[in-house]
Amino acid sequence: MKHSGNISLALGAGIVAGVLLLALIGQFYTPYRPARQEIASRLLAPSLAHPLGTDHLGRDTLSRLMQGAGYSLFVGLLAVGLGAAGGTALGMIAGSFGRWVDEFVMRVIDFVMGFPIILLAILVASIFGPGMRNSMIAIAVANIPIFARLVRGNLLSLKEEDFVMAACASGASTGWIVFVHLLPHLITPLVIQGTVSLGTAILADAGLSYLGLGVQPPHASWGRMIYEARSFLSLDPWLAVFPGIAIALSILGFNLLGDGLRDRLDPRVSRPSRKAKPRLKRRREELG
Amino acid sequence: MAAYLGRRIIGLAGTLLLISIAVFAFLNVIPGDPAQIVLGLDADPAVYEATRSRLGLDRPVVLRYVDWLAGALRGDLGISLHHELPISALVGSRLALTLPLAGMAMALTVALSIPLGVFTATRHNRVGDYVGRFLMQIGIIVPEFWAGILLILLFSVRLHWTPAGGFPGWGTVRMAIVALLLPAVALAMPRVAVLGRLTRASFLEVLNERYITAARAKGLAEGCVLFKHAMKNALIDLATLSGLLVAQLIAGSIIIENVFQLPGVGRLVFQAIGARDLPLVQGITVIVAVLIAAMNFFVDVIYGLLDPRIRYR
Repeated sequence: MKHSGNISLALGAGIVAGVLLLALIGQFYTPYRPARQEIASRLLAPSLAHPLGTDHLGRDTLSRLMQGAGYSLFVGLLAVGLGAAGGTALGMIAGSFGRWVDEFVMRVIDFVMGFPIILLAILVASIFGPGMRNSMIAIAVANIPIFARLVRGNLLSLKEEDFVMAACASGASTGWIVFVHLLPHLITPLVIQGTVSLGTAILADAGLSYLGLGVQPPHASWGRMIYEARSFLSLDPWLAVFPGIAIALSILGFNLLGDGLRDRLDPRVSRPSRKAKPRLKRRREELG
Repeated sequence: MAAYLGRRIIGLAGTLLLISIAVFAFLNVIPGDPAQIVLGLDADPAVYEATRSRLGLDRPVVLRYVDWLAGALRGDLGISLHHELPISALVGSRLALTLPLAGMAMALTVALSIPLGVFTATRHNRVGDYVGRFLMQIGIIVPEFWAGILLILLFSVRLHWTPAGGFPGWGTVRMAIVALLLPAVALAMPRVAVLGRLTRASFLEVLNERYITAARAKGLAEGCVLFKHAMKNALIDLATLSGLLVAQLIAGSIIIENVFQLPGVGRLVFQAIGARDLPLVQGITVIVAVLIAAMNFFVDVIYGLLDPRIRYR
């Protein structure tokens, strides 16, 4: 178990680092200008001059992929960051006040959780118009319930710990206990969830930009590149393949990194699925 | 059971009320007003006023909400600005594609994910398990719209087995089902992976229980142990997820319909955004949200039937 965790950690970190690097370099240098059209060299297959080929307007696919990586990561990081901040605040309010505040906040959160991101994004886009900022808002809102639940759940179980009682007995206020004693314990689960959420955010962003609700042309986004490739499938299938690989690979990277971090940082975190219970049982069996 | 059902019905009513308020508020208490969004900023004042009164914007918000809600309860969601047709009829006709599509994807998901999950769980940490988990990992990282495009590339562009998109209507059922097949597969793929993983996890957990050892000890055939004894307890975990699954399938079909150019609700709402047809967007959002809430309600009820412990919580 330990072993597989290390492998996914290394692999995930490697892929994420690669995508980050691609995006960063893309900010300063791309082989061609991502929006430059060159009608003479349209729909080219991969070659030395254009390693990943060109699209129907003669734009260089690699350059557009690099620019798209930047937008994808930017939207993902900001959306997850905002969602985590909002969710943590809500979860802390629900978890530390308890009673009807808790009940009310959790009801609203259940409601938002059942509401698909895409509907939210459509509502936002129908009013404020499509665009990167608005798709980011939708993804951020969709992330709030996930973090709120995580924080609240952790708070509720942490509240039962002896060190909280000790702090209480020595006269610490609720606010002091929450921020000084409890918050540090939340960092690990937050980082793990944040990593996994980044993968989901990139997936959601790709879907929204496929529909034209994300980054607007002439800027390149992975989802939109696949949309544009849809019309040229029989002429140039490569066009649809590369952006998809970029999306899938980034999601894989963040998922593996999240899994690896979970195994490395927090063996206690109950992995409701496969590991926690059997492991406990095995312990019990080992003890006789 | 009656008390449990009562609580669920109250919960459903609350959710529906919340949906109606949220969607209504979203489109009405925004900066500017819907008439301006529909017409743009530099609209002719006379046209602007006419649109305002057509949308009922010259009346107080609360009154408008009550009217709209009363209409919605009677199945009247107003008139689409772009199509100039009643919204409920418009959406109803498009659901004739979206619901069968989601249903097919759901059937595929269940039919593939449970065997896959059981298979990998019974071969825990052996070759079959690794291969299955690898496939499921791929299913999770591949976006459904890209999967759709790859399927078109393979089956339509290369092999010419299926049309690359479009829908012939339900006139000939066989043609209609063929047209929905690739979209349903694309839609099901990520869900097969998620549900398969979950099935695997809950089977692994259940197979560790003592009653399974007991069943094996008394000499039951392994198939009987798996599908009769283990299945019942493992499926309860899956039942909780199926409500979420339906929500995802309906939401996912919005993208997939646009990939395969199918005239369903997803394409309708997408065109409505382009045409700035706010009443239609509002109507579709409400209908989809209500559908999802209703599915969750049914799942809760079934869950209560399956597991008596839930009812007394």
